[in-house]
Amino acid sequence: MKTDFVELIRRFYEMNRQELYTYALSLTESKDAAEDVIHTVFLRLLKRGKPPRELRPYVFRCVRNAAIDELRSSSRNVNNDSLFDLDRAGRNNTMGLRLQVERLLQTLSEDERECITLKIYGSMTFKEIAAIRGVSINTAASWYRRGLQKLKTVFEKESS
Amino acid sequence: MKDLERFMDDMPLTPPTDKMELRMNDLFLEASERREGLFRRPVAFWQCAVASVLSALAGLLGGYVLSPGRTVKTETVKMIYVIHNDPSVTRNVFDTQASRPIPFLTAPTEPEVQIIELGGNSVNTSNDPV
Repeated sequence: MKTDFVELIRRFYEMNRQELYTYALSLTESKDAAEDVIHTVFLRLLKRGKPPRELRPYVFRCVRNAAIDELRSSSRNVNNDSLFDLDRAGRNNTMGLRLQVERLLQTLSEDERECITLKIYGSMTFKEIAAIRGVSINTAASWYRRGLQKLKTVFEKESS
Repeated sequence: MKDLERFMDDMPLTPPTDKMELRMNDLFLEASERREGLFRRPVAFWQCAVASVLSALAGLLGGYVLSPGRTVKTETVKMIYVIHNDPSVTRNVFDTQASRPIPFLTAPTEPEVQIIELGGNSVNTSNDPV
């Protein structure tokens, strides 16, 4: 039955909403824009009427494309909304560290930052990241390792 | 490196807002209603009847259009003509060079000619007179 498709997409959304939202937020740096991007992607997916072969990489790739479109076309101000929930971070007394990590993430190249976001916060494999970005698995893995190494170096330097 | 990964992984992420959840719920609800509506739309009885009649007519017309060579088979009437065994008569009947109308041989039937002798015995028959 055709309603199974809608149900499939709804279940996919419920299982991946946090990862998708974090990815969209990391690209747009605005909560409102991230919400619009997710909404647009699922609206298009539902209009498509049939699931793609590999749903997860496909939807993340759509989020990326929609975020780029949003950044190009929108006159919305970049809010620099945080990826991290600072209210919960504050309660744990680690807010300073989290702000530091977020600031350090901004110092990485776009490829490195995106790769780290997808790997750590999207729980993606290098193969999936490579498919989303249209690069080889080795390139995706090297972006990730290089970015993480840079973070570690700066983090240690600032801590000492 | 693993410590850094673990630390970053443990960081609480900004959750989607309630507004977004409402938007997405509405989106899925609308999508499922639209899909169900396509297949479960109520149709009036008269619409079903009209559709049936139109389909039947289209079928008949389509049949005629697709097989135009179809003809009604009619029963052919076989006519038998009996003539005397007289050379002048037989020449008149069987001479294909002669150009005169012989009404009974051009009739739209399958004429058969039998020639009889004076005694009444049949000596020759033909189904293909002209």
